[in-house]
Amino acid sequence: MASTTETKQKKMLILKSADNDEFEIEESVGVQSETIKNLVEDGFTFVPLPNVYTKALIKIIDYLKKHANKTDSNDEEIKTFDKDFVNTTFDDLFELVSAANYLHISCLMNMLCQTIADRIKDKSPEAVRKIFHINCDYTPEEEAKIRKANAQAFEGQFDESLD
Amino acid sequence: MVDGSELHRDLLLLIVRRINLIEDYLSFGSVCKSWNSVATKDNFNSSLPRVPWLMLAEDKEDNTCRKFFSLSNGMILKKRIPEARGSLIHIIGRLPPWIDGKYYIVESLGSLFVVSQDGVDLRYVKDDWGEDSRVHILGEDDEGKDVHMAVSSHIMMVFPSVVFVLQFGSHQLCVEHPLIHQIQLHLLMFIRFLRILPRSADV
Repeated sequence: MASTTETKQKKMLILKSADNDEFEIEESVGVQSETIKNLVEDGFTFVPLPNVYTKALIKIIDYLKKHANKTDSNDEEIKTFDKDFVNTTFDDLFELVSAANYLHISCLMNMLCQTIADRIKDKSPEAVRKIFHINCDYTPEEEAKIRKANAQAFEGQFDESLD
Repeated sequence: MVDGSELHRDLLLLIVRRINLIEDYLSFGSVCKSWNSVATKDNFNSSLPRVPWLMLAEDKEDNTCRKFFSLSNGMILKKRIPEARGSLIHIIGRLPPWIDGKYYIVESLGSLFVVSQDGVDLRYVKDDWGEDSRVHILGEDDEGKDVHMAVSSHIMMVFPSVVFVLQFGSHQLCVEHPLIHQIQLHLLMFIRFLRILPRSADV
C-alpha cells in the first residue's frame, strides 16, 4: 500500500484474512468491530482473522470505511451503499453474516439478519429451501405431518418464486 | 455452494426474531431441523410492528374456530378460540358533546371502547378497567390504503395490545381489544367484520 504522509500520521492496523491476504486499514475504521477493538486495546496492530475469508473481508472493510465517515450530510449516500451491499446472493450473505458475527459489528449484523429475514417473507418452505440451498432433512412422513399442520392453520397461497 | 441449514444457531436466532408474520414463522420452522429448532413458540418476537389480522364472521359449521384475514398478504389463518363464540360489536351510545368530533362507545366481548369517526390522530380508548388511554396512529399500510394501525401507549406498557382503525367510506372506526394477549398470537383482532357498524350507529 502506498505510504503517504497522511497515512503515516494515522494509526494503522493490518488485518490478515483466512486465505492469508493482508489489508492495511486505519485503526479508527477497524475499531467499529468489537473483536478488533478488543485486540487494539490489548496493543495489537496485526490482527489475524482465521474465520474471515478475503472475499468477505474486502466487502466488510468497504462497509467499515463507509460507515466510519458517517456525517449528517451523507446519510442518503450511506443508505444507498447499504442497499447495494445486501443486494447479493445468499452465498455472499452467508459469508458476510458469519464474518460480521465473528467480528462483532452490530449494525452490520442487524442489517444482514434483517435482509435474510426479508427474503423469507411470504415464501413457501420449498421456496425458502431453494433460496438458501437447504436440503430438507425431514423424513417424508415428518414433512407430510408439518405440511398437514400448516395447511390446517392457513388458507392462501405462499409465494413459490425465488426472487 | 453454502447450505443455509449450516448457519450458526446464534445467527438463526437473530434472524428468526426478525420475522414478524406468523405464517412466515411457521414456514421458517418447516424448512429443516436446524431451523425448526430455533422457531419455537418462545422465540416468536411479539414486539415487532405488524398489521393486525381481521377476525371474520363466525363460521356456521364450526363456531369454536374463527378465521382471521391478513391485511398484509391476504392469507387466512384459522384459530380455535372458544371465547370468541357469538361475539359481536355493539354500539352503545355517543360520547358527551364536550369531545369534538363524533365518538361512539362500542362494546365488544364485554369491554367498552370509545371510537371516533373523523380523521383525528388522537383518540381515547376506554377499557373495561375504566382507564383512559391515549392512542397513536402509527401509519397506513404498505399501499397507503385506508387502514391504520394504532397502539395505545398506556396499555402497551402492560401488554402489546393493538388498536385498529378502519375506514368505510367516510366512516372511520377505531377498535381495541384486551383479549388479544390471551391467545398466543398477539396479532389477532377480535373484530367481527365491521361493515355493519356505521349503519347500526345510525349515521
